[in-house]
Amino acid sequence: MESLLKVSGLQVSFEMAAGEVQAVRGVSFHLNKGETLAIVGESGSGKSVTALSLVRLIPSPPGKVKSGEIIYQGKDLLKLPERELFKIRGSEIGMIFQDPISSLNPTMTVGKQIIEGIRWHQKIGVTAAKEKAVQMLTLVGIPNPEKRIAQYPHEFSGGMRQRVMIAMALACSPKMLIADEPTTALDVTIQAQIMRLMKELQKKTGTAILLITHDLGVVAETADRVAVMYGGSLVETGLVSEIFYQARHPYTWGLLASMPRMDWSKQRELQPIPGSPPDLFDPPPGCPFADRCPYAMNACHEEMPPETDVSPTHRVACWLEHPEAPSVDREKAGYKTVHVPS
Amino acid sequence: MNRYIIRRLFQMVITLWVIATLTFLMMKAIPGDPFSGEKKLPEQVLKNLMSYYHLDEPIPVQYLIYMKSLLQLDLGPSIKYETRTVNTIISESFPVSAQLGTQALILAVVTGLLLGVVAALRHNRLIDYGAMFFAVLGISVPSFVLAPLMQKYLAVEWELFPVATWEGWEYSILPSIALAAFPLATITRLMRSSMVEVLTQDYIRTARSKGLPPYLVVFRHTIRNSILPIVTIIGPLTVGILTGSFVIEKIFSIPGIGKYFVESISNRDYPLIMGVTLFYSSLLIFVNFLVDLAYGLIDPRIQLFKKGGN
Repeated sequence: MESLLKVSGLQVSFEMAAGEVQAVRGVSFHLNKGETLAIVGESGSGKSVTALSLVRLIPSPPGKVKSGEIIYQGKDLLKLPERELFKIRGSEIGMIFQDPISSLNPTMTVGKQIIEGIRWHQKIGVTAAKEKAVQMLTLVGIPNPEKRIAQYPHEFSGGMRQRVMIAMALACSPKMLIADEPTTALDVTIQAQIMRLMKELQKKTGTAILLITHDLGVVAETADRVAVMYGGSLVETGLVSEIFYQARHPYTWGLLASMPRMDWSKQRELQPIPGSPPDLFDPPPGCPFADRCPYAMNACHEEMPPETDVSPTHRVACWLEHPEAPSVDREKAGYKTVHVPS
Repeated sequence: MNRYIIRRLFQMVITLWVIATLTFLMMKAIPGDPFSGEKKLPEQVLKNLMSYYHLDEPIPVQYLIYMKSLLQLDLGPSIKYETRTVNTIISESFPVSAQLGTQALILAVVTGLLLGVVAALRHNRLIDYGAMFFAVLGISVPSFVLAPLMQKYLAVEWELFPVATWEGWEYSILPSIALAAFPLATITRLMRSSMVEVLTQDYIRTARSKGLPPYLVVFRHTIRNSILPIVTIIGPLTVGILTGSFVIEKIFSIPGIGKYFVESISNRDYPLIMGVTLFYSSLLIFVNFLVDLAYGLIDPRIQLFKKGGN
């Protein structure tokens, strides 16, 4: 598979009055053409910041990319002059965001909001751009697009607004779509519709999707590969099947065990992960999960675990992978219990 | 739309009637009369005068007489300026005040918006601090301090502008600036804070994610959404400019309406008090009406009337 985007050693910090928040601490991953990579993690794990820094959209100041490389088709997006970036945003890399209510300009018709991106990138006339916008609205399943195009965002429902956002993001046929928690603010029934729509559109257009989410259900349904993020770093990356069935990081086990399951009896309680995420003002020197990890050893608290390739597609950062580490009974650790009968 | 406008016009007439009645009652509650000046008038003369102006009638009768002439848009004769009616006084002096006020308002809105936008875009940088420094000065230095200072330096010492009076456009520059200082500063501060807030909104990030360059993001997405608080404050600022013009007109010896507004009260010039108050009130009610219409144009979420209703 040909890689479209390669991120290595990305570090992002926010300079606050109280000190520096190290939101992203050396993250490396890649995105292949046409695939869906999901970055999962809890609130504050740095997944959204990672996504926004890819196109340099973190609020700056206070946000700052401290180091790293973001290679998109041979160009380092972090070193590109702003001018060049304007050509890439929207036309090469589209974005949709969590809250479709606040992400659309309330004083502009949805048509104008779609058209302005098309016209900026493709330098075509108003009529042609409008036609394209109607096409896009039809594509994302908005009935009556010729009429809806002249309406304002407040005249749309939440799900319809997210469809508008998708139409807007895909209007210039980008090669890559960054979807920052696209379904978090929507009703469950609408969530499924939106994810199905994104999947369908991906099949038609071959767009690669970087999906940021904390919803493992969404991940299981849509992603090809998964990157689990915790405390500003990636703890485990692998194919969907590898993460769901052969997870190797205790944090991933915890995540999976805290997910509700259809085939569990009602008496069985969900298992929360005890403790809370590390303080990113002053991150621990070792593994960010060490304080909450039932298998933590001395080394875990002292030094960041190196990344180990478990398979060509599966990589994990955990001291348990070290040859001298005690072996953990993964049966008992619980990952087997989350096996989804297919 | 038409229906909405007709309903609003009807409400405006009612408001004016309430203002007229209240002003009439309060005015009559002030002790004294137009003729209780320094010189004691002979009994018979006073009696004749009172009867000429219907001041010897009971108050309800006086009220009805006044309302009747008001319905014919006749504001009555001035008591102090015996040879002139209130209508002529207003029609002679108002154009001067209107020119002064309009110039000041335009100056305040245009410069205020510009400074506010620049300050917001250069948030917490030197230009922002500079603009805010002048905004605080503009708000805290009263116009009766600013005006004489400008006269002393800009007019007397450096002879850039005429000192006072009203004989041509160049005479209106200093008073317009003096009158605009407060609203300008207010608009600058408001526009800055409103825009700083809008710049953090999610839809601004969306606009940037489309690849739009900063100037398009600012012009298309930020300014229009930031301007609503400014439109709201235009009403009260207009009041400030109208009433503030009395001080400025006095300092620059400008023959505007402000003088009549204030002096009519100490003179107990009943028809003039009523006339000028009602005139100002109608102006303000009308400005507020325009502001409400502007809301609907700027923010489509604000609906003044039902679409398609008849």
